[in-house]
Amino acid sequence: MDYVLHVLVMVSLYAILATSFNLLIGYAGLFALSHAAFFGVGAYVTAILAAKLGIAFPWPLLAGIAVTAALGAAIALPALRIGGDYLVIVTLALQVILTAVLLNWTALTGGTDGIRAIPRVELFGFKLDTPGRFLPLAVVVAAICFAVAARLGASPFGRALKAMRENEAATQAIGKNIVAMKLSVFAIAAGLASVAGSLYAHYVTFVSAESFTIELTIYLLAMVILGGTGNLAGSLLGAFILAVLPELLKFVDMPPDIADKMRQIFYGLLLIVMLRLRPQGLLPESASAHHYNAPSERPPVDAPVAAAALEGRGLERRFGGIVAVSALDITIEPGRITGLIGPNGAGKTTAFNLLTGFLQPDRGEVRYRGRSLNDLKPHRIVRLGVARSFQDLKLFTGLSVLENVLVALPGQRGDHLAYVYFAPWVVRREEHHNLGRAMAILEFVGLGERAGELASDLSYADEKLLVVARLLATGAEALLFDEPLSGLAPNALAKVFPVFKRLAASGRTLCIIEHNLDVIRELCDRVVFLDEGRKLAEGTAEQLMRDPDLSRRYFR
Amino acid sequence: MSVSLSASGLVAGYGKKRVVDGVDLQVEAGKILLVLGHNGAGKTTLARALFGLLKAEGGSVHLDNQDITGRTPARNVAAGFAFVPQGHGVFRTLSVEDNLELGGFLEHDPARLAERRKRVFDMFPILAERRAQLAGTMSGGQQQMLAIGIALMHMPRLILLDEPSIGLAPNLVEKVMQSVAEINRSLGATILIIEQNVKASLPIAHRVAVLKTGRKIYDGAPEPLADHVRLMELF
Amino acid sequence: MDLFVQLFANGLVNGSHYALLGLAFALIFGTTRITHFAFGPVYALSAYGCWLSAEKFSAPLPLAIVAGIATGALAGALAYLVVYRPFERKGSPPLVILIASLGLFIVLENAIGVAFGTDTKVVPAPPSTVFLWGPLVVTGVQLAQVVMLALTGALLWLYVTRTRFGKALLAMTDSPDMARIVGIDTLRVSLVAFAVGSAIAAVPACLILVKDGATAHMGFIAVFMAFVAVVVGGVGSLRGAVAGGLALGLVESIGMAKIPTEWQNSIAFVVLFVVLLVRPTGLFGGR
Repeated sequence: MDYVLHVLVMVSLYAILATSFNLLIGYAGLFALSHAAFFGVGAYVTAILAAKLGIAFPWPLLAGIAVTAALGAAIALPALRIGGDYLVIVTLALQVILTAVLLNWTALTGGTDGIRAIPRVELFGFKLDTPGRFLPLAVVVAAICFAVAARLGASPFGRALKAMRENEAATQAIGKNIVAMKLSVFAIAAGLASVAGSLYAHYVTFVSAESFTIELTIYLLAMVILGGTGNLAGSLLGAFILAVLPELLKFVDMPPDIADKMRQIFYGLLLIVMLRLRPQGLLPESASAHHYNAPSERPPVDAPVAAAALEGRGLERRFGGIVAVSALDITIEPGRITGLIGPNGAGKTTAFNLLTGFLQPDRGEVRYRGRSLNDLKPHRIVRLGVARSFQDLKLFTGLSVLENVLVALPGQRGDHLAYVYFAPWVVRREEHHNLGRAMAILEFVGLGERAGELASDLSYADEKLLVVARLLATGAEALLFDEPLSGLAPNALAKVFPVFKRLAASGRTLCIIEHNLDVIRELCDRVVFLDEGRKLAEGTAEQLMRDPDLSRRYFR
Repeated sequence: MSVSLSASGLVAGYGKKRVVDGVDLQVEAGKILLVLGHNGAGKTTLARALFGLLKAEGGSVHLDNQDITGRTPARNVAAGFAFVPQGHGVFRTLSVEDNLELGGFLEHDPARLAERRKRVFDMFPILAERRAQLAGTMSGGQQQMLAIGIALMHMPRLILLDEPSIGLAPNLVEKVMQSVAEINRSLGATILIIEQNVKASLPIAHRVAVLKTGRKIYDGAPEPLADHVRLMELF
Repeated sequence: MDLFVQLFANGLVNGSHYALLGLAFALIFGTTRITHFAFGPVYALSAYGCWLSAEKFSAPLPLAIVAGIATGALAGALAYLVVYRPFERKGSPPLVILIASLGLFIVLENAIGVAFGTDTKVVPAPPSTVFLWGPLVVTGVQLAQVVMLALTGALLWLYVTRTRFGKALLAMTDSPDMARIVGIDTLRVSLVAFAVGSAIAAVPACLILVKDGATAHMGFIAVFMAFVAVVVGGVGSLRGAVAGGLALGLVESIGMAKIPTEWQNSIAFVVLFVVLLVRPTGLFGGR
């Protein structure tokens, strides 16, 4: 019986580890191979404080959280600077260096012997020295950790994490600070893992480096993949299955160390097979059915706004020796649609990048509402009122149509963890209101019926509409659309034209890059012609198209 | 010796997007077909679907009378169908010489390879001068010549070029077009050239097709398109 | 000064070891774009193959090393065909293939443990030769490590620059798209990359067997160092991987003059961090 209780304690600990790991790799898409290291740091901090310094539960646990969370954030920082691909090797390196520290800093960690005789937890006079006595604590703590993770996952912050996982550039373009998001999720995931480590130390009463290796991280990875990335209940399932199933090997007659290896071979094979046959896991990530709860009031989408002109003055940008944009003066006025046309490689998208902070100009200035936008990050510029869409869409394909719009709404207090955990009622009320706003926007562009569908299931024409809806949702008054209508058949175009016209009529500052001259003629009051990074002409669509020199340029 | 290429109802795209939406094309053996279209018209998708780099979702492609729909690029190369991709299709980190050798990868006979190499150097003397230079360090025009040279090493009966003029100065563009016309004349190779640069490519074309949003909206003689205003309307 | 010369020599020796690992990993990764974590256990398997030939079949050492190399090549080729290729054909994203390689890592590492046990395998040491050149002390095995780097590097260089298939390997490393366009069979090239890469990694594996013995877990640090050598040298550059490996060995060795030996591997970590912060594309990178 004790044996069964012991397995359940271990399941509880693995549940904490698997759910926190899922937050990192499943929700945020940050592939960090250092989870066993975080687990180990939590365990050792507790071991050192409890065994060597005699500090009682729960202080070592809390100290462990602080240390590990700080470590998590510290490890995330360089990886953030250099790009996600390198996160794998950096976190792997952390694993290696931690093992070295644990084995060699003998004075602190006991070296290869580890630390023994860690005191048991004492609660209400009871010493938790048997599996049966420890289990309630383990289960309660696991439940709390799960609640922390689940709360985060279900919050607007969690939704933004998933968006970031799908596409980082687009997440910046809707006004989210992805660096802060990454640091937060790393700190929380690391902190949760250390809680498991602390419990482990009190339960097993001794820690050594060989318990916290890459093999353990891969074990946890198998749990997350099996259960389903992006689904926390799946991680519980995965933890249960992978902790319990191999115990069945006990019934087969085998020396214990062979059994241990067979267990590992089993989960290694399971990992490969799951990835091949059912990569989404047992419990796939579900697109939420929020739209059923949307309130009936729909705030007007094209309510008049007092937008300002977006100006680029003397913009210049080079890439190596190539001049992408030079001496560009462009003013996009509110209340009408400005078209930006020109041949391939003329610098149109570069101009958009410069105007919205995705690229910094080598010379010149971008101004909106009387202030310079130079040196500001894209997400800051969005909050100041200037936003752009992308030629290659960059939709959050794993999210529902409604979630794509919801995540883009500005000023969400649910994006801040302080509110998520300490004022959830505020977040809940805001979500309810935002559902109405999001549905209004979807209905405005004609996607109301599709709110609950997965963005990846949309037809091409509907994808283009979603791009418009998402950009609109940012609340920015200056909207820059990069080829919003390319590839649309004439009847689809006819349906979308009114959307743009109404936006312009509401006073917003609009600019569209387009190649389809029918679209330009229909929508744009003013057209700017760019070639070789310079503005060559500006006028009405008719004026530009009648100009023989420009025609020649357009077709060289 | 040269072959004809035809596509019938070709449908291709990425995910749900039908970039090429039911296109019919014919190039007669030994002739030059020019396919015009603006960005997003589906030109590169069309090229890659014809050559087998992209799986066609519908329709068929024929080389002479043989159905080559869905065949791998390697088999097409072996059948004499060469592709010059957009953006200087060269191996940047390898020398001109090595690039050409890779062009002739499927040919084992050193004598034939030497003959083909000579033909490439005769047509593009600058490549002979720079045979040991790394392709990535050459200018855009030289890289484009090398890309065409790589195709010539296949001893092609049909060459498909995707926007060979992109990013090149006008005089180089003219040189490229002249080379293409010369290849057509001397080798008798059938040419399908996809372009955005009307002015330079129109003079060498025997026939023109115009694509707009995945469909063909014009197929006929090149002369009527010489008027740019007419073209603006098409685009 | 004498100490410095010895440290430099040791650095060169260890650097050669890392350079060969890096070269092998870079060949596989550059050609196939697969992050092959199972590189570690395949490396270990090569050492075990060598050991088996020497112990059970009483093969003389050179022959046993050849057996080890053959084991590595076969194991690497099988890893690609049986595990990675199905994912490639399905069009799985690189991250999924990476996770699959982690699964394979676990399976192979433990399979070795089950089949061979957890003790350290050693081979009868060759007549212990020690060279004394002035202030320098170098053992036979250490010399062999440096010599093998030079030899293997030269052979590989000849292969990729002089043979038709070798050039196809370089072509795929440069641009898989262009390789397909000129008609190269990318499946065959990938298979050869895995076989040749694993064979190259088998050389340092066998030398380590002779020097320190083999354990089931020896692969982890090997794949880690190989990965670091490639990142430091610049992803996509074979030359860079060699330079990265040598640099790692030298920095480690010089660093050890001040730092206790147990912290050896941590130096790699520091080098990695510094390189990523200062020059992320690596010494020879920047594609």
